[in-house]
Amino acid sequence: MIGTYDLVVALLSVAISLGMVGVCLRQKIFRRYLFINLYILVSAAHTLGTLYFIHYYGYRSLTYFYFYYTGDAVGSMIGYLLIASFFDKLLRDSVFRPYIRPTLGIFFIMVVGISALFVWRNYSTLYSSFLIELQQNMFFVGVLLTFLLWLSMNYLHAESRRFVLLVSGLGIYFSAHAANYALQFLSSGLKNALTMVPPLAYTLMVALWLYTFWRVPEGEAAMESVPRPQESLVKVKILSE
Amino acid sequence: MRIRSFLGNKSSMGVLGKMRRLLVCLLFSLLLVCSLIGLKNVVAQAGSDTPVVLAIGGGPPPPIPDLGH
Repeated sequence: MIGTYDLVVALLSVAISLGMVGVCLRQKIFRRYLFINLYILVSAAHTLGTLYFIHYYGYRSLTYFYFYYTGDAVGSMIGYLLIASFFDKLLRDSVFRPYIRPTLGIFFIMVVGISALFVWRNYSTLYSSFLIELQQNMFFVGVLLTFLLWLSMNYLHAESRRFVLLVSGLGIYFSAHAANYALQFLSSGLKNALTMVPPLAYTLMVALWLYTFWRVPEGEAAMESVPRPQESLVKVKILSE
Repeated sequence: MRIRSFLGNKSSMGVLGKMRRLLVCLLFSLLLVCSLIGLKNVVAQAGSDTPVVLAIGGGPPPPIPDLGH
């Protein structure tokens, strides 16, 4: 059985997810944000599935293990498509646009290939090892691509506040996981407490996305442009001369 | 400007242009894969073999059995 905390967080995440999809449907932007909605729906179904499997098969059962990680792998792939769609949106007017989709497609095939290569010798537990390896790789891919997305967003001065908040949600999610992972190295005594963080990080991300779709209008500017101080411009001019 | 002229535009794409595009995509992908492997190595050197658990939903992740990691 799972504890009250896990149950509350799981049900809360499902409620917020469905709320977010409901807001998107009401505003008729479901298709425009297809991948984010698909990701949320798959995650919500996965969460409900975990509760079902824990109830009928037990938390430590192998059936639950396989269900969780297979569903997680599917969700990670849709998450990858979501990050790719953000890149596509951000670099729409850039010279790099025709390169985004093929690059991310080739990269994904390489990641799956690397994951398969690492576990190839482990025949007896091939499927489960592959799932764990793939999930780990997808985690690092997520961290890496979100970081690159954030850098590009700052460099290209993303204009839409809604877009910035959606990317920030991903940032919160992945940075919480990374911090959690790092803390596991530092203190093994905190391990039980740290297992509570990933579902909470996911719930916070979905809550931020719900807020974004609910309260932030589509065309709202990310920030007002800050004029460069005259003094620094003069300094640059002097140095260049 | 050099990057723009190297990448070219979509309208002027012949076979050579497509090959160049594929090459650029492959190079970007390799760059990302190298970053990924580097990142994983840094984490591995930090001293733990514990696989990271990335929760996509709100459900609690199951304990990972010993799979030889």
